Formats: sequence, C-alpha cells, structure tokens
Amino acid sequence: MAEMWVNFGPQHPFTHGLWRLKVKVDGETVTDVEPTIGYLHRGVEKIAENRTWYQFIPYNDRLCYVASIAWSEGYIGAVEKLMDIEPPERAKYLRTISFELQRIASHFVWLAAYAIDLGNFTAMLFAVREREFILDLLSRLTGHRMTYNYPRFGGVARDAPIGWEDRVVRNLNRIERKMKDFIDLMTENETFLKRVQGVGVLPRNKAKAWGVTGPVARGSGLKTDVRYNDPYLLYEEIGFEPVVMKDGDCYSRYMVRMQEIFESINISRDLAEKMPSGDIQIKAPKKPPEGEVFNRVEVPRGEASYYIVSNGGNSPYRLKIRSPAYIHIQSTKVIMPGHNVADLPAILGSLDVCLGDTDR
Amino acid sequence: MSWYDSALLNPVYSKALEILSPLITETGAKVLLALIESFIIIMFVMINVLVVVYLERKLLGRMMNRRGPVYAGPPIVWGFFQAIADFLKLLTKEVFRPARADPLTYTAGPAIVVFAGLAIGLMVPFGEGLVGLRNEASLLYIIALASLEPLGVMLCGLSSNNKYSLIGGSRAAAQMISYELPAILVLVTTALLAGSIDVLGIAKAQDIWYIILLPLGFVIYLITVLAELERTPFDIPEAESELVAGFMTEYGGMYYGMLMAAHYIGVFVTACLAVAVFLGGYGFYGMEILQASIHPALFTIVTLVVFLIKVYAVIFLLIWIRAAYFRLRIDQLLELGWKRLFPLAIVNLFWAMGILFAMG
Repeated sequence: MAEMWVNFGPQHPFTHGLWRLKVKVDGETVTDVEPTIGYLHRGVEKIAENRTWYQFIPYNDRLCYVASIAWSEGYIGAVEKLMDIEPPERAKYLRTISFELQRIASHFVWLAAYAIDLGNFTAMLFAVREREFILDLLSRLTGHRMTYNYPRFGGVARDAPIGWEDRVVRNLNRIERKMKDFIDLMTENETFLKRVQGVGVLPRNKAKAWGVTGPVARGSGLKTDVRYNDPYLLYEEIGFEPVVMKDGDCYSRYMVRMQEIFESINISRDLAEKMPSGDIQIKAPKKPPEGEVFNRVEVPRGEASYYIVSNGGNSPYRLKIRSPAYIHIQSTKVIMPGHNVADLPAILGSLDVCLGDTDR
Repeated sequence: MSWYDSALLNPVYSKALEILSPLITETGAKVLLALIESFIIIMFVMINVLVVVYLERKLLGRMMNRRGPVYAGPPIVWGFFQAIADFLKLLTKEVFRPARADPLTYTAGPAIVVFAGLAIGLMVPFGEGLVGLRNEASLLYIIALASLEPLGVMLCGLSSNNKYSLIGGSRAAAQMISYELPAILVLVTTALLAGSIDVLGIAKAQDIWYIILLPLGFVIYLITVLAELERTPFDIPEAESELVAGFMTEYGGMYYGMLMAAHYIGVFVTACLAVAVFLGGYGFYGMEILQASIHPALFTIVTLVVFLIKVYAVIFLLIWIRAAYFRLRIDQLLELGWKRLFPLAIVNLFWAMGILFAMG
C-alpha cells in the first residue's frame, strides 16, 4: 500500500468531540498527523465582553461540559481576586468538595471513553454506572446534572441539603469499593496492558517543551499541579500531594488518573466529614474595580487559566481562557507519528481532550 | 446420507416420495425433496442464529450490568424478537451502493461470506443421523469452506472504495490467513487421533472427549475461532474506534444484515465444529443404553438437544470472553498467531502422536 492520508473526524468515533485529525499512513504505520480544530468555536471570550460579570458565570459551565464546576471555579476565583473578597469557610468547603467530585465524574467519563476506545464495552458501562453516584450528589447539591452553575462571587448558589455530607461519605465509599471492578477489568487485564504499556511515550523534556499540564504532564514525570504549586480554596490546608508517574506512556497517564480518582475520593470524603456550619455567601460587589487579574485552577484535564482585564465597567473588557486540552491536541503531533494506526485511539484517549474548552 | 435418513424424518420422507412420485416422476420428487431438505437445514441454522443473537445481547447485557433487549418478544424470553425486528428493518432499507464501488465484488462479498457459513452447516452432525451431506472427507470440505470467508471479507474491503474499508479488509486478510494454519493443524490432530477425516467419524471416535486428551488443542482452537470470527479481543478488522466499521463501513441495508448474519452463522457453526471435534459431538454417557430403550425418532431428538446444549455452552464462553477483554493490535495478533499458537499447535500434534503411541 502506498502512503495515503486518512481522515479521522470531524464525524468519526475516534475523535472525542468535534475535531479532525488528518493521518498520513504507510500501511499500518502513522508517519504524520495534522490536528485541525475549530468545529466547535462559539466565541465564548467575545461573548464575555457583552455580558455582565454575573451573566457570564453559566457560560463557563459550558466550556467543558463534563467538568462544569471546575471551569466555573476558574472564572469565579479570578473575579474574586479582582474584587478582593474571600468566600466564607462553609462555602469554601462546598466549593472544594464539588470541585473534587467533579474531577471524579470527569475521570469516569474519560475511563468510559478509554475503555470503548480500546474495544471493551463492559468497563465503559461500569464507569458510567459509578459516575451516576457522583451525579446524584451533585444534583442534590446544585439541582442540575450537567451544567451546574454553582459557585458564585464570594460563595455558592445553594447550601447543601440536610444529610448531604453523610450521603457524600456513603456514595464515595461505594465508589471506592467498586473501583475494584476497574482494577480487575483493566489494570490487571493482560489485553489492556498490552495496548497501553510503552505506547504513546511523551518524554519529560518534550512534555515540558510543549507545555502539557495535568495528568498528561504528571504521567511524564513532571510534578505540576496547580493545587500543589499555587494552592487555592482549601488545598493549602489539606496538604495536597500530586500523583506522579515516570514513564510518560499511556499506562502512566491511565494510572495517574486512576489514582487521582482515589485521591479525590479521600479529599472530598475528609472534607465532608468535617464540614463547618455557617454562611455560604458574602455580599459581593456588582462589578469589580478597574484592573487585571490572572487566575489558574487545576481542572480534571490540566491547568486552566483565566486572564481578565476590567475597566470597572459592567462586563469584562477582555477575557482570555487558556485550555489544557488545546495544548494536548497539539501534542498529538509529537506523540503519534511512528505508531500503529490502532494506537491512535489509545493515545488520544489517554490525553483526554475536551473540545468544548479547546475551541471555546 | 442426509437428514431424511434419520429416524425422525425418514417416515415423512418415504410418505412424501410415495405421494409425489406419480405426479413428477421419482427423480423429480427426489430433487424437490433434496431442495426442501437444504431449506430445512438453512432454516435450522438461521433459527439457531436468532438464538445466538438473543443470547449474545442478553448475556452480554447481564454481564455489563444492564438488561439487554426487553420489549419485542413473548413473555419469559423478553426481547427475543428484537433480532427479527432488526432484520425486518434492514430488509426494508434501501440497498445502497457507493458510486465508485465495484458493483460485482461489492455484492459478491457478503454473498460469499454467508454462503461459506451456511454451507459448513450442511456437513455438521447435529444429532443421530442429522448430517446434511455425509462424506468420508468432510473435515477437508469444512476447512476449504472456512478459508472462503477471508476472500469474501477481503472483497468487501477492497471493493468499497473507502480507506477505512481498505485498511479493514487488508487487516482481515492478514488475520484470517495467519490464524487458519493453527486451526487446521489442531483439526488435523483430532483427525489423526480419531483415525478419520470425517467430522462424524471424529465425533463418534471420542470415547474420551478430546478436550480431555488435547486440552491445549481446545484452547488453541478457541483462540483461532475468536480470531477467524473477528470477535473481541480480535475484532481488529472492524475496530470501531479507529476504522468506523472496518470492511463493513460502506455497507448498509440488507448487505449489512447479511454480513451480520454471516458473523453469527460463523459463531454457531464454529461452535458446532468445536463440539463435534472436542466435546464428543452429540454423544453422552449412557447413550447406547438409551438408544436401545427408546423410540429411534425420540432418540434423534435427545441427541440433537444434547448437541445444542454443548454448542451453547461453547457460545457462552465466547460471549463471556467478549465481555472481559480489550481489543489487541494487529501486530500483537500476528505475533500471537505465528510465535505462540503455531508452535503450540505443533506441540499439540506431537502430544497426540504420543497418545496414539501409548495407546498402541
């Protein structure tokens, strides 16, 4: 077979979301790839300039629809810095717990997609089943199942219902118990390991050079995590330590995320057990003063940052969002060439891209 | 020898011959009845295919913690008619052919695959006397027809004028050809042990089931069956995460239905073959005593039921494997085939020769 270009996407089961990967194949070997994005562009950054500060909160939920609260937190945190206010203690607890629950839910979506990328339907359904227990908690807390619209400047939208903390502990205990399913079905499955070990290696120096963050960077041995490097909310009190694996292959990225699920379970369970009572909201000003601010948070996919310029008006003068998945999609150009065609889904799945925030 | 020689159908046959001979001469009546017989066998196989499809959906569903089809069908076996409903839907769809596909080979592909599967069913001993076509060399016939299937799949892949189909077709060809060799070696080993190259002869020669004498051979045969049927973990030619549907990508309507039917015919027929050569065919403990004490027609039915029970046990194993494993990569598959299964099949051959030697 001669060399030919094969199109993966935008309509293809391989792409998680709406993007396109042009792949040059020589028989079964990939010689070059060319990622193309822009199919989901909605102009969120421009929309921000035409909305008031409060009106823009729900748009953040829609940046990455499987990690809504995490992205809202980035925007809320940035504006709070600009307004120079601090949420009350209970609100901080609620925000940290929901942030970590969101990470577990997002990692379960990734796990489901990864299982089906590698050809097993069972693990996918198990992951979706476990995610349901997180959605149960979040819907009780916020009233929604997907785009929560939960954090507010200086607090949260709603207080937790009575008995919610116990429910958190109960559901998380269940999930922790059921994680054994995935260890049996994936981590200790010979056919799974054959597909991920030594595949899609992103060396430490390349990871640093290309600016990957989150589980991808931590899988390559970089100890970067905003929760650790630049703690916000309660992470300083918790004494957070990121999970780091050295090899930089798909297996490392897989293991990093699997261990992060356990870590998030522990964090949110501990916080739920010692949740203080009190106010959930302070009175925040209608609009921040003139100035500019940079805020970053660790969303499930990596480092998300907001750069906001305010001229003291009703809406942001300029708002810039940095998405981790944008960088990860680019890094396919370094990781993928030289691999087998069948490795492409394994690699892409391990990068866990989300096109909502990539295209914005 | 045909199904009409069995005690079950013989009275019907002689009666029909008696009635029809004056009308359309004896030769004409025999030809007509032969056609009816092949129709009966095809219907028998197709009904079993429906059961296989139902079992696969239902059992797979239960293994994945979901319910499978539940609506179409009678009580107790809820969802049994789902497969029929699906086939009816496919039948009513437009027969579509891509503009630049090669018309002849595009149509021939599915036809060859279905034909190969059904024609094998002709020589399988389903019960006492229930062999469509008795031949002293039926194992050769089955091996020859089994190797026809890769041809059909390859034609599908090459004629569709689609890059995914092309890659899928070439993968299928590589996979099936490299797995045919160990399969044939294992079948030949059983023939050697039985001293016959007739499937019925092999089945009858098993005083001790060959799964006990040749456990290694059974495992090898099961793996090669999975590879030849393109089932998980070897569903590489139709790997949906990278190749959409592989060689089936451009097929729709009843062509697609035929390819799916061919897959399940293959599952049923290879399971039948596995039972015939490894699990003692329709034989069971105390068969002779039962044969002497009950009516021959009833005995035929008993043997048929015993045979089907064994077949569905094997099919259960295939479904279980599908739920538990991930898809391998094509190079890993070829490595497994040539570096592991092929030498092991030769070891199995020597093992069988040792048994023969020891038995004198």
